[in-house]
Amino acid sequence: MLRIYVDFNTMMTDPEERVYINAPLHDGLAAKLRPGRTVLLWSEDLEVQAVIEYDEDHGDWLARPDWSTSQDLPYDPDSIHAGARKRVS
Amino acid sequence: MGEAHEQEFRWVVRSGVATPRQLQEGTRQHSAVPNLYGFSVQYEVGVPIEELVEAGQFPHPRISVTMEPQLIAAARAAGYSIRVVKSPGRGFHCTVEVPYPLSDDLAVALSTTFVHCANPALVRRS
Repeated sequence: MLRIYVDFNTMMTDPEERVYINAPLHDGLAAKLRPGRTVLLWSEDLEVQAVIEYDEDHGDWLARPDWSTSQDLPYDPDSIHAGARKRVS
Repeated sequence: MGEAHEQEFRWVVRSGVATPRQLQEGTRQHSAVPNLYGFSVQYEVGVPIEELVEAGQFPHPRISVTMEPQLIAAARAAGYSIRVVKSPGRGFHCTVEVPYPLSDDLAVALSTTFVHCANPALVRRS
């Protein structure tokens, strides 16, 4: 299953509580996304399966979580000092 | 005395651990506000942390907390100007408006202002 790192805080701006997938930030990610595809959304301490949707009005890829599949992940304090993701210019 | 009191009620909270990577991942144009780029937080002057967390209905087992003046100061120290603006969303939703895309150095500067703790109002969705 495709694992996608996300910021779940983006749910706060979606009336349907879908999670924003930051495809522009990740080369090649958009090509892997299909409406209806099940993926695994994850962040430092949480993961959940979700179904991909495409918002044509805004041109955004979103994911609708299935919260019955959510799992808390072990919290590793050292991970917060891992720094920002490295960009390839 | 008055200034210190005011600063006590300028809490900024996010669900999960606010790593630099998280902040970069969440930085985007607000879907309802053209040209507003930033990441989501719960913030309102005078509102305590617990109320902000409840309003956010956070799903993570941990939350991240900082203060608006600290965010502003950290950005300034890194050579950037940012602001926290009210924007459409759940509860006391605001956008921390940052240059887009969020640079590595600014992401690190902002991330280091947050402290992390257990989520006192974890919302388990079904």
